Amino acid sequence: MEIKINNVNHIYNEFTPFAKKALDNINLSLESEKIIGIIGKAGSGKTTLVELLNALIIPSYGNVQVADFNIQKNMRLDNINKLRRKIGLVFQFPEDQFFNPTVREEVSFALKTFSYKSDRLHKQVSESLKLVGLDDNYLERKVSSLSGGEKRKVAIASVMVFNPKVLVLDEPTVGLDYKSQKKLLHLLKKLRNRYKKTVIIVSHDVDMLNLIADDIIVMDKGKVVASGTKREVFKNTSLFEKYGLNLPKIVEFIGKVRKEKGIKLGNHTDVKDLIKDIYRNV
Amino acid sequence: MQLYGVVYMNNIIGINSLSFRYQSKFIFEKFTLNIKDGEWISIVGPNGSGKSTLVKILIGLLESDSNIIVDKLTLNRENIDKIRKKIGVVFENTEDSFVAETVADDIAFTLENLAYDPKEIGRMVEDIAMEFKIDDILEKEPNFLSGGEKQKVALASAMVARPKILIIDDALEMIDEKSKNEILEILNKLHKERYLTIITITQNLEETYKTDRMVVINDGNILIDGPTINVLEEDKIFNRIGLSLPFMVDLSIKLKLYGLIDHIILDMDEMVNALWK
Repeated sequence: MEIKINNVNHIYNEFTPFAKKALDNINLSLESEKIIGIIGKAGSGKTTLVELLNALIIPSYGNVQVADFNIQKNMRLDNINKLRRKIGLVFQFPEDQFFNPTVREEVSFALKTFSYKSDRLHKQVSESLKLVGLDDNYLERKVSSLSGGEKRKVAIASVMVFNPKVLVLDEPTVGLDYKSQKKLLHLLKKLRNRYKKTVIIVSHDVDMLNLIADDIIVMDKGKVVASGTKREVFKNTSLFEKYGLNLPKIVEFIGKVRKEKGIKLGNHTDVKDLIKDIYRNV
Repeated sequence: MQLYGVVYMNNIIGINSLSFRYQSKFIFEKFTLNIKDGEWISIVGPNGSGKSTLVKILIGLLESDSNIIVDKLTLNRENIDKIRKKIGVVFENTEDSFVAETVADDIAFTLENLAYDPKEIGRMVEDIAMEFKIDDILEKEPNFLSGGEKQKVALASAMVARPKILIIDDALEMIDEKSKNEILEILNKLHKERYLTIITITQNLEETYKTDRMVVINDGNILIDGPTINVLEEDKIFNRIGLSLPFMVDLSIKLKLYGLIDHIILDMDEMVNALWK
């Protein structure tokens, strides 16, 4: 399912003294079945951009095309509901999106609003919990008793349960310990590879994105200042300097070795592979 | 210089067999830690390890009956106001702590709170602003600053009354790399030139690189305590408690295993030059 963002400008509180331009003439097309990372400083418009994708925000000007849906002013409400089954959004703080007491009710909530039948509902809830690595023992657990990592998983399960084609996550690894992070990254790769989903991740953690993203979009002051494959974008070191962003450490290291010693190491994302390459080259 | 040596040997903070319970669960049980005057120490551990509870106890936000000494004063209700003057703190979410309409007023607020002479306040605010290079934003509204600027202002507010101890509680997590390095450089200067005692509380091992000593805690227990550069090599401990190894530490440990380097190197330029002389 292709996503096209056409000439989008978004202004918060337009026509008031508090008007603030959050998106400035955005044109993008996002490929399907990819993991796409969006980076940029705080206030660069990353979150606004992804909130457009499921019509949480309707652009002030321009439009967003998601499959057959056209997100723009005057979009019909029933179309918005249909669109939201296709695009699942997991917020930065999953606590903010819980409003049911137990895991079962939380995960089945979306299905009920989308009026699924109850026999199918139970199966779907179990399956999506399994997908994120939680078993049926969690069904009756109180949401408030879960750890940070478990909450994040329940938030993802409650979005995956209606089987969206696109999953959008805002800062998914913040506050997660290393083990939970690794499991989450494994899950996101599985969603792309086995379930053919598009995964869009907003994050400041470029080292994490370097491990799993296919494509990278760089934003600054409401504009897209670079987009392309991970390799293309990370190759442009001066861009990162210009916008005060950091490169993945491993990319920085490989770049430094090439620049200062004239030695070409491969574009590794894993330290183990890098070590072998260094061993061959010293 | 001899005097400095003597001062350095004294404990500025002594936590003696601290026990602290939240509801019925022990967060700390017989926890002992001494911090020397002029030391830069990092206390690291995963979520829920007790790091932030420890900070709250030290600044009197949580009460304990245990024996804690801060700069020769016993931590109790009677002394808490004096002790708070000795400790500056920067927290993670500084947005919540801004109270005034301009940066200058916000920094002054700390001094007003501590009942400084109003005549002195203006000068002290200017001095600290120059020192931390935020003199150009003194008239700005705190909420319109970037994340990095906000943390610098918070640091200036914490330091303006010249405390003897500074606590950085997870305060560098969400800011950009450039601001983070600038702040770490300011801290390094305060530590080296003024012998400020600094306590860095974090889960991010990169923030510990410049510290003298590292204490790793989990479930209220000290797992290891030693010179930072040595503790960073304990990858098995970090793996076990779920802290990720920064790239340079990970790379160093593996290169050492291959015999390509003989010690941990945290600086990237130094590493490149060590490998290809």
